[in-house]
Amino acid sequence: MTRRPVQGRAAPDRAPAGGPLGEPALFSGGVLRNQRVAAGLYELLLAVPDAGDPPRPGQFVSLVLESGVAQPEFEGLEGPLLRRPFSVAGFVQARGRRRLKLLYASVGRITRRMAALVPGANIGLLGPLGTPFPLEVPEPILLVGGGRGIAPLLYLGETLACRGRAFALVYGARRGAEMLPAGQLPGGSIWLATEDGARGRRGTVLDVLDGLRLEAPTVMACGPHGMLASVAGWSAARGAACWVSVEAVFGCGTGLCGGCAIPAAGKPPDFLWACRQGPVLPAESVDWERWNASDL
Amino acid sequence: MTCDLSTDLGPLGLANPVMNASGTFGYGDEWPRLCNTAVLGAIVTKTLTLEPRAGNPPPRLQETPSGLLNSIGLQNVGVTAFLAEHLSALRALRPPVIASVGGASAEEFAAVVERLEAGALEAYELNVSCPNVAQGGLSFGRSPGETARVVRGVRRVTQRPLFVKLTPNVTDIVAIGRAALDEGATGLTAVNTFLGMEIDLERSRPRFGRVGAGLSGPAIRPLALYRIWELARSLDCPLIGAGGIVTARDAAAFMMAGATAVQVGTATLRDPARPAALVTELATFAEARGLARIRDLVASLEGLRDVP
Repeated sequence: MTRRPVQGRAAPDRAPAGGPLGEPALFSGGVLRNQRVAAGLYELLLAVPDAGDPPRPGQFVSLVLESGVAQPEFEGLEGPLLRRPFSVAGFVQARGRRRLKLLYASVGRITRRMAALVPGANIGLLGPLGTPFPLEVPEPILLVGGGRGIAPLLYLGETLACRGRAFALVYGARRGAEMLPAGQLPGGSIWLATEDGARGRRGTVLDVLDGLRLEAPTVMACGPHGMLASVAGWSAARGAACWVSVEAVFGCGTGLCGGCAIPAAGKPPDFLWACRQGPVLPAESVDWERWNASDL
Repeated sequence: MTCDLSTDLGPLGLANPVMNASGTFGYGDEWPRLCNTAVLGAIVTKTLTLEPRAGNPPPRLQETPSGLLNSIGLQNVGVTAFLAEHLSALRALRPPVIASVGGASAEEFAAVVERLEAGALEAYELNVSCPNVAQGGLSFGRSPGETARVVRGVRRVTQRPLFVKLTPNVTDIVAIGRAALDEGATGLTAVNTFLGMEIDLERSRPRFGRVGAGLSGPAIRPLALYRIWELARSLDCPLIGAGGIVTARDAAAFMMAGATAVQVGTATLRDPARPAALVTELATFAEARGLARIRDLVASLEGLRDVP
C-alpha cells in the first residue's frame, strides 16, 4: 500500500511554481457551479482571471459576496464587514483559463449566503494568501483531513498526484453524510473514519492513525485544532515531520491587523498570525497546550 | 477642472488628505502593490513601543453589525526592529511617514521618539488612546494632566510635527485635546476606538480576556464625526479625522466638519486598496462639485464655529 504513486484526475497545464511567494491581488470570480456535495458541504467553482501567481496547495483566498474588486459604494449594513477566508480546494489552468474550486460548510452568515449563489453571479476575491504546504519532502506523505479541513488536502493531493508523488489520505468526519464521496478524494490509498460509523472505521482519524501500518516520514493535516494537536503529537511520537493548516478568525487575512493570533511554541506569550505566518505551519511551531486551553 | 488635493497639517505638507489609520495597515510596507501605498498622502505605522510586545491572548476580534471589536494589545516588533527592518522599505515609497508611538509611561513615549529621531521619518502620532493595554494607552488619554505629561516629555526630544490620537471614551474630548496642544502638539487625530464588549452566551463569559475591546468601522462613523466637529468648534489646529471612513462622501463629511486629513482603518481589512482608492474617489467627488482645492472643503460646514 505504500510508495505507490497515485493517478491524478485533473492534470493542470502547469503545476504551481516554487520559489518566493508573490504579492496577492484583488480580483473577481464568476460562479460556474455551486453544488451541495455532502450534508452541509458545498463546492463552489469559479472562473478567475488568468493573471497573477497561481495559488499553491495550502494557500487561501479571502472573499466578499459583493461583486467587483473594490466596493466604492460599500454599505456596511449590506452584509458582514470582513472578508472570509477559504482554502483553495482545487485550481486548474488550461488554455488560458483558470478555474478555482472552494469547498465550504454552510454554517455562518456568509456561507449560508454563499450556498444561494447561482451560476453567473460574481464575487470579490483576494489572494492567493498565506503559506503553502512544502512539496519537496520525504515520501510517502500522509494527508490527514477532518471535516471541512479536507478542503486544502484536495488541492494538495491533486498536485502531489500530478507530480507522481507517493501519498495516502486519512479522512474523518462526525457523520458519514457530511463526507465527500469517495470519487472526489485524491489518491488511491484512503482510510475513512466517522463517529457515527456510517463510512469507514467508527471513530476519529486518530483511531485510524493508531492502527495504521504505514511508515510515513511526512504528515500534512487540516481540521479542527484539537484534531491537529493530536495529529501533531502522533507525528512527533513517530519522528514524522508534521505540517498543519490552521483555522482562526481572520480580520484582514493579509497580516495587516494581527487579529488571528495563535499561541506560538517556545517563549510565551508569543503568537503566530494564522493568516500570514500560516495557515500552513510546522506543527512544532504551535503551542498546542495553550491553544487548547484558550477555548478558541 | 482638476482639483488640487494637497493639504497641510501645520508644517507637514501632504499631496492629498488620505492616510491609513494605525493598526490596520501593518508597518505600512507590507503590500506596496496590492495597497498601492505610494499614492497615499501619508503612511502611519503600527504603534511602536520601546521593546517588542506580544499582544493579548486570543480571541482578539469580534465582528459586530457594521463594525469590529478588537483587542490586539499593541503587538509590535519594537522600535529597534522597526528601524532596522521596515523604515527603509517605507522610505522607498513616496509618502511622508508618520510613526505611531505607544508606551506604558511618559518616559517610554519620549524614549521611543528619541530612538526614532535617528530615522528618516516626518512626524509622530502619539497613541495615548489604545483601550487594549493595561498600562499607558487609554489611561493616559482619559486625563488632561497625563496627556500633557506625555506630550511635554516627547516635545523635549523632537522638533518634528507631533499629533496626538485621542480617545472618544471621555466626557470632554476638547479638554484632552487642549491639554495636548498647550504642550506643543501640532495637531490631533480623532478618534481611536470606542470601548465596547461582547458576551459569549454559550460560555456565560466575556468574549475578550480584558472584557473591554475597541469598536471601529462604519458603526462608529457618526460618533467619530461628532468628535471632530466638537474639536473643530473649540480648537484651532490641524485635525485628522478617523472612525469608520470608507468612501469619499465619508471623507468629505469629516473634512467639512473640520478635518484637514482623514484616515482609513477598518475598511482596509476588507479591501487593502481602499485608502489608495479613496484618493481617486475624493478627486472625483471634489471635481463633480467644482472644487478647485480640496482644502477649501476643510471646516466649510456652515455655522461650524457659531456658538450654539
